[in-house]
Amino acid sequence: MSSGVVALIARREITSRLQQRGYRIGFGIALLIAVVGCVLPSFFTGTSKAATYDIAVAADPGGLSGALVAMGSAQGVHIKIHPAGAAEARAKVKAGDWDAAVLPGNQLVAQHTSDGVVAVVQDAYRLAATVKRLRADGLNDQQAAAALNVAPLPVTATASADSTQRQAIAIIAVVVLFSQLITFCTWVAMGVVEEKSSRVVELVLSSVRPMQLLTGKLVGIGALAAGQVLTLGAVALGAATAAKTLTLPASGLLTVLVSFVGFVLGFAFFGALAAALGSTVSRQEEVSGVLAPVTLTLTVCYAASFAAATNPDSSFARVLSIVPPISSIAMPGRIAHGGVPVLDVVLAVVLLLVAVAGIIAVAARVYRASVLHSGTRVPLRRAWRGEAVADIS
Amino acid sequence: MDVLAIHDLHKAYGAKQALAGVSLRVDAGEMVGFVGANGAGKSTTMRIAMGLLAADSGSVRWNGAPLTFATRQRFGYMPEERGLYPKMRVVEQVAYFGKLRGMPAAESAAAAAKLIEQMDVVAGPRDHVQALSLGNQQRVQLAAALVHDPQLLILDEPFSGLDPVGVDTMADVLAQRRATGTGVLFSSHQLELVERLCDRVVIIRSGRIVADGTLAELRQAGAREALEVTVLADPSWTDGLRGVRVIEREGNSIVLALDDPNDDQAVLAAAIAAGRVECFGWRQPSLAELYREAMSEASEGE
Repeated sequence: MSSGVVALIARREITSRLQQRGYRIGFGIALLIAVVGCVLPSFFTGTSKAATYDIAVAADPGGLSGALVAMGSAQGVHIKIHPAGAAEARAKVKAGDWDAAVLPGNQLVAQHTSDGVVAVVQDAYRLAATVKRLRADGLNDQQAAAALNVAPLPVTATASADSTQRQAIAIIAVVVLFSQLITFCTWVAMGVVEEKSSRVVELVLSSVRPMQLLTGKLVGIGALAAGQVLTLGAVALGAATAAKTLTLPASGLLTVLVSFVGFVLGFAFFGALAAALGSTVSRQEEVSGVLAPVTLTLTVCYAASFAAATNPDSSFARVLSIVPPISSIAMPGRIAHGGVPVLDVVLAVVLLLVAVAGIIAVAARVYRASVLHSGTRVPLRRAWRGEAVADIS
Repeated sequence: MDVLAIHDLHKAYGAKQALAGVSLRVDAGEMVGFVGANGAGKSTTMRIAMGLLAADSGSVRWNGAPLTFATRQRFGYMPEERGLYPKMRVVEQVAYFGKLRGMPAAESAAAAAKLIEQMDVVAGPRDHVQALSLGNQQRVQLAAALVHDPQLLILDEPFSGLDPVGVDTMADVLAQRRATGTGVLFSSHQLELVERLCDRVVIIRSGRIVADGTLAELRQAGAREALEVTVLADPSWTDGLRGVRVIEREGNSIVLALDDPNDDQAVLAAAIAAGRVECFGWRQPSLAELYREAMSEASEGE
């Protein structure tokens, strides 16, 4: 089979779509949604900037101002101290200009007792009081500082932000794979039917082999789709990293790459099926009906993969991520969580490749038998046994 | 010499026998008209000749060798089911079909642009095929069959749906190709067109070839049926002739049927004896008459 002809056919599939304004608009909208979806969460979790607290000290019980500054630099907040009278301080806190005020009689005023600034002032007050007591017990400044210098406990979170992110990445991968597979498989079937309904297919087949036409179509639409998925993934990853909604770029990148492989193999499987089913009808209106087996199977795969992504450590998740064609969607979702044995990945890829080879052989036979038949829908049984386009040597 | 030779094709669709021993040949630079009723087997024969359908038995040979994928690339084809990519630009599309048949990109683009101009296709450079009139689409369709400068053209109903100007353009283009040595096999229901254009006519009926030859040969074979005579004399001059019947009479012109066509010289002698002979000769049947005759003979033979 001449690869030049397949490349020609594939290129036509790509350029003819890129030339359509509808395609460009659709892709632009998808990009926009990806960027917005990745950047938006950062507006709701906006603790990224270091906070600045304006604190009025109307009456310093002793060393409080110094302790506030020390506490601020220890906790990574910027503290601005305003010397002011009690009345002015209270008014400014009430108006929201300042965050807190320490008034005579050891009174602390803030808008809410639960504000972060309250904890900071309380800590500073405790520090200042402790220093005062240590001095009273006869320690000099150095000894007091040494006594107060306690290394913090190392912290390990059981429910870290990381695992939440991984979960989110896994679900996004599953959703994107499912929606893109559905979209582009429909494109394949539409493309096949377009050639039949415009009757151009007989002219094309007088120049190329049916298998070349089928392969070129799958490669062309597949390349366009894969490029689109990669672009969407890269843009989403970049936007999310820039907006700091994603702090695990390595895990995200791996998931994008595995999703890409899953998409390519999944597309080969479902795309070939869609082409075969599409070739049995002659009108665009019949496409969605005849594609029902593909959309149904994909939906089942999607539901299974979604379940696996939300419960990645279960044994059913492991099985689903290996069984073709579910693996094309489920494995990327599982990879996002990390900790997948290499054996599982190899097994999933090998089994999926075998399934793809099998489905392409079946699809090619159905396609050859149906693609020149115009008019009513070709029953699958007849497509399997029937008169096919001749394959001259 | 480039020769397409189709030999003894048989093809059945289920219980229906579509072809029952079709043989024909197309020589280089020869234009062959393929004539027959709908469903007689013309399109099936052409599809098999293009390698789109497999015959149950029989052979398609090009220059003596069985048809291969590579040799088919030198054929140009216009299917009965017309079709182009509706959303592709005109020249781009014609060039695409050139490239599919192995032409280099630049060469096929140049050939496509030249053909589109030569065939007077009315289209802007960025127009999609679907924006063209049907007549113009038909011309583009022919251009798609010609772009790679084929050695053989197989055209299924190339003239159907064309207006008279379109017919002339198409006929001119085909005549040019024939003059450069391209063989042409085309089917048509427009018998007067076939009569005008073709070197040879093949008539098919129910999957069998019932006549094959040049127009002169076909006329000779079945044509000595009506003797046209115009004599300036009393109409009764034919009365004494034996084995002669008057079929038509209009003034001095009569049409005679002879039991034995070889008696025509006796008729001529009688006519000269009767008066001045202005016209004497066997009627040249039109292709339409020959066709009807071939059809009825074949049905009698069944």
